[in-house]
Amino acid sequence: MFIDLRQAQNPSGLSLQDYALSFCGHPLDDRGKTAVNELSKRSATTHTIEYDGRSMAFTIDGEQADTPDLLNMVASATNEPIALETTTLGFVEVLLCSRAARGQTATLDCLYVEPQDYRRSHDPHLLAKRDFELSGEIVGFRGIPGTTKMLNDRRTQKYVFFLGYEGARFRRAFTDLEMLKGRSSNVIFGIPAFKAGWEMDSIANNVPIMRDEHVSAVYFCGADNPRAAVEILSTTYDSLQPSETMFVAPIGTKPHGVAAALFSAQRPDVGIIYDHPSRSPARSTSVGQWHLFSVGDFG
Amino acid sequence: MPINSPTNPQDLASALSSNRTEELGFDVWDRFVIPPRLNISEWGETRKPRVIVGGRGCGKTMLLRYLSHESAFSPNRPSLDQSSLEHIGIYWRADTQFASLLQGRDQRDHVWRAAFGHLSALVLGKEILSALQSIANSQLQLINFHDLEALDLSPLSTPSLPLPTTFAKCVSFLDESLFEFEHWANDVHTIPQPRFLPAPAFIRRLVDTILEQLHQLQDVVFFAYIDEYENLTVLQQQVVNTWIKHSDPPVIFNLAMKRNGFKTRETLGEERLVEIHDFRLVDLEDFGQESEFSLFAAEILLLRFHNAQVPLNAFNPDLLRDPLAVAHRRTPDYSRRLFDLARELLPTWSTECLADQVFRDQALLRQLELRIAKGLELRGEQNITATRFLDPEHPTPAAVVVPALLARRRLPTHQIAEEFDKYRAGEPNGFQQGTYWLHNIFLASYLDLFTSLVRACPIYSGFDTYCHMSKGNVRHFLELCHKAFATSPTAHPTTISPKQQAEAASQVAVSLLPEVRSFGSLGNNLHSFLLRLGRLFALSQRRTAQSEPERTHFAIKDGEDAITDDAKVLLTEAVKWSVLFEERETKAKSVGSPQVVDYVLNPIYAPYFQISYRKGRKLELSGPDFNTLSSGSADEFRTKLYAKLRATWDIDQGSATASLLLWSDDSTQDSP
Repeated sequence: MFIDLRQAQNPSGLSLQDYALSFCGHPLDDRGKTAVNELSKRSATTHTIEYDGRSMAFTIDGEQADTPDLLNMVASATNEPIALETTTLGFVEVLLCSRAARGQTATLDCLYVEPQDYRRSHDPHLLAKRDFELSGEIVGFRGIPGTTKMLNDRRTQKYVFFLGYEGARFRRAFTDLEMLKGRSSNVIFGIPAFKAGWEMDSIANNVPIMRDEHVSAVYFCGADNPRAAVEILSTTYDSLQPSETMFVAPIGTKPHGVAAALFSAQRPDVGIIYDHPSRSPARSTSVGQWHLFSVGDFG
Repeated sequence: MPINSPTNPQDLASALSSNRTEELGFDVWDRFVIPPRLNISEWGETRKPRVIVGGRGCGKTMLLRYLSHESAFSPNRPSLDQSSLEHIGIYWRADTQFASLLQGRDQRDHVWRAAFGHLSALVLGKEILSALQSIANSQLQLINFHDLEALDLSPLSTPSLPLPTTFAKCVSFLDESLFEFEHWANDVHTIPQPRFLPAPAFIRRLVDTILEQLHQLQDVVFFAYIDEYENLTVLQQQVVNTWIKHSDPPVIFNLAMKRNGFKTRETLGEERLVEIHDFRLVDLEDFGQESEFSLFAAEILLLRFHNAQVPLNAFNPDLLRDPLAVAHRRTPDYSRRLFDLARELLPTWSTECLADQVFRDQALLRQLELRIAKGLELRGEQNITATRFLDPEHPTPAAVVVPALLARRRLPTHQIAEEFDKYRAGEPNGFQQGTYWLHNIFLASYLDLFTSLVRACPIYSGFDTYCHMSKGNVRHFLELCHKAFATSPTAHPTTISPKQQAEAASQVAVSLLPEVRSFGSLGNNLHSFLLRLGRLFALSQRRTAQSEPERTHFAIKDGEDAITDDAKVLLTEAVKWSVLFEERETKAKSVGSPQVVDYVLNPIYAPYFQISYRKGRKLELSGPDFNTLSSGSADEFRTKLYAKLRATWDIDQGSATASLLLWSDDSTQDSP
């Protein structure tokens, strides 16, 4: 697998191609609406896909669907370009589409649009100044069919966390899944951040948990760089002992979530740990940089 | 009994850092302190299942690991006897993210019931075989590894389900079956369903087969402890409840969970689980008397010091893990010695010392003087000044409560002054007798002096206060101690000043507050609720008269029927995660009146809000008010509840915004 990265101030700078098929999510903010609109214009067929973390079921265009339905849709566009609008798709939807597309498509393009800014907490307390309101109710760490491995405190296991602004999600992993061990965890920060200065928010919000849980293996890769993220995952995977199982928790930036989904689609022996947050409406403001991650040799 | 040795304070701080039990491994024998009130030596004699309840950080995992076979037959134990066979703990912590897979997806309930049973049979079967290895490896010398290899497990097989016949092959079989099951559970539509083992029948059959051949183990009873029960699905809880209902030797099933962990008490039959009849409840945070937790906390603290090579005279760590020594540890003589040691490490100030600090500190003295002067001014007193109560040569606690007394309009100034003089003269007076002003309002009045100062109030100091603020939570207690020693200067590393302790308590409260966001799926709501509730209590604390001092708990008038379903869920979650503690009032006001439930704010958060850590007066909320508190918008909370109570309590804007640590008046918003 290789990932080509392009970015521009607007969609025309990305030289988007025409797609036989594209998948989008429900847009919740300005950038999502713009991204879905742009991709729909270039796609022969666009489907909206949505996964429910509680029921472990998903819908396509509002209708209950299952994996064979998704595979059939992708098969209808075999060897033609397919696109995922990853600004609006959640992590699990990207994962489902990536698994379905693996080996079926010549090019899998993932579109992602940054916001100008994220919505911060209303709490004016000094201690809350780094709080964000990106997630509403969080279902919690529930398995995703096809990617769930058993956590076991009697086996050697390796955990890789992609971290973002919401330290509570990282904390909750250790609260809910007590078998996780901080000393066996690697954390990856999105640095450089989308914008200079944003990295301080994610560091400040996660370091207390790292300290409490004795996490000391820290990696950095660009917040907008899924290629570098896949490289870190591959390096970790290659260093596993024969009896070791690897888990990935994509609770950081969306490009890192895309990396985790692509990596997981290729490595079914890797477990995914995910908490299924519902995204807050109007979680960000305005439209920032446009990104296109073109995935090739995705077998 | 002095504490010797100035060990490096950083070493002490590190010895007190709260490592999660998960980091310690499975044999925790030499790190465990048996809670003195748990008669663990008798746990093998009672064959009734136990349901162990406790919040995060109360030591539940540590207890379960102590009860498990790795610790029970630890090579580190100085001695073992046959009685250890009466209780062999088998520990299973269900992986809740994996267990959540076992539902829905077009499979019928009976498939998932059987699938969960199969998973349990595999995990518990492996644990039982592992326990036999622990016994064979122990100094008991009842069995050895040759005995295990010689076991014939063929009785486990049935004509339709052949199973391995040797110990080693059975271990491999269970491992491989777990892998096969994991594979199937991920893709139930295309991978063939494995042949499910029936639990608990398989477990019983396995144990019977072993005991029939290893007669040395005829007294063995396995106690399977299923942890994180609260995270199982309803269906899975029904399955486990059925096992509990029909628990019999040689396999007794037990549960461990957070408070309010039962989603259902139903079994797969007609019956329901009933406390006492079906199980005994062990509440790890219910210490009966507070001194019982204090003893436990002192022992843990001193054990950490002992392990950090601090010589402690007359401290014997072996007593702490010896089930037979519990009675000795409960003697007054023993506990007094330990309390003395702990209080030497974490001293506090008496009321007199606290008052003395005010008179030595210009900023605090100024605050007191301003309050007294304001009180006199509001009364229109011309002939008396604040200095009448503020003699620097004779600092007195009585002066600290004078502002509150002056705010009580029915109390004449001359009476306050006369009682003050009597107090100073050592005569009977209202500060110490009758109205007990010092006892009732000193702490609240003292706290009030700190509201406009950015500094920690030293009332949050002392070993006993730390115990009270921890409220049965070992993790919180250790965190307080850790922070206190981590911030200590090097000069006196084994005694932390009250000021430093108070600073540490504030730091702990600040660091624990954001954690609330991670408490379950309603974590964000709980966080918001906690901030709002704390702010209401802090607002009450601002009442100059302190007529309702130390408000840190509330009740809902007319009971829970008066609140919405969403509010009930939040309340349940708040109790489950120990944000609130539920205390049922024992005295009904009249026959037939509903039992009142008090909800006490976890005192570990008290320093953040600058409120008392003690349970003082109650705040009674109507149903609609509680709904606003728990689920109203930020605007609704501010305009409907906060503003209403501020007006009711007659707190002026300036007083309400006095606190520099907390918020400005228009910042009562919070995150959703």
